[in-house]
Amino acid sequence: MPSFYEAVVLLSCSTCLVLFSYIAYALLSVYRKLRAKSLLYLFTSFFLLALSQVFSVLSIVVESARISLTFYTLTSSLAAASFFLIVVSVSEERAVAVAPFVILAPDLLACALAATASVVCEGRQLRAYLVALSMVHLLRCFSVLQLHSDMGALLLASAEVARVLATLLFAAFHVSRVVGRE
Amino acid sequence: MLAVSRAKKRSRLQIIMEVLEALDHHGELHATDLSLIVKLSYDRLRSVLEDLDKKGLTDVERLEDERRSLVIRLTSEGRRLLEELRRLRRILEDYGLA
Repeated sequence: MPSFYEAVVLLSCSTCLVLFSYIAYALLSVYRKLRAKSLLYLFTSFFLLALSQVFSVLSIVVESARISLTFYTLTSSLAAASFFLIVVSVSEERAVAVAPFVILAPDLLACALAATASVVCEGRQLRAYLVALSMVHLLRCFSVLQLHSDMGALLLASAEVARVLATLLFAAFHVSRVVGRE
Repeated sequence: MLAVSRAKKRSRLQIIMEVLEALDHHGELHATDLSLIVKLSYDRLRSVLEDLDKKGLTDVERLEDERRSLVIRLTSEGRRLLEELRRLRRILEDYGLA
């Protein structure tokens, strides 16, 4: 028996699912007649929104916490993909301008979080590791901006090598401390 | 997206919408008049009209006068599609996308 909160969320998700599906169907039927690219983008974006509502409902209905979390993540990812397609449908040029920021967003967030944590956390080694991590994510951001050239691939490879090295050094430091104690 | 905008480059969908609206408003139009109304070069308009004619949305008649001009009308299928497009435009406007 679902709680009142679950029932309200399920009802609103189901309503959205019906609405988005209806709009997607209407867009598809017009696209089939006109074959205009912007209609296809809009259909796909509303279809993804409808799909995200399906996963939203599933994340509430499924009892397993892990599977529910997976569905919940899928919900937001599909919605994000849909919003990006809406930008594409309005203007492909604008979408090209927005794309790097969409791709950069996770790395920018990780860079900011690692930098903040390096200020807040105590311990010289941990701070150094967090600073290195934030630098790695910053490098990844630059690599995305340079992906059209060889420099992008070089920056991405350097960032990954730096990340592995920083993690290895940090792990080695901890191992040395544990071994030293024994 | 479906809104008429003269300053920006129009999408193919916007052009089609404007052609269908003009034909619906005037009943029938000569190709040259239609190109003036929708502000489109004659060559570009012809490719759009050929496409619409192929899909059965418009009816193109070649007059037997000395200019052999084209007269274009909306078919019932074209009128139905225009209604669907208007309905979609209203929905998309509610989402701030039109």
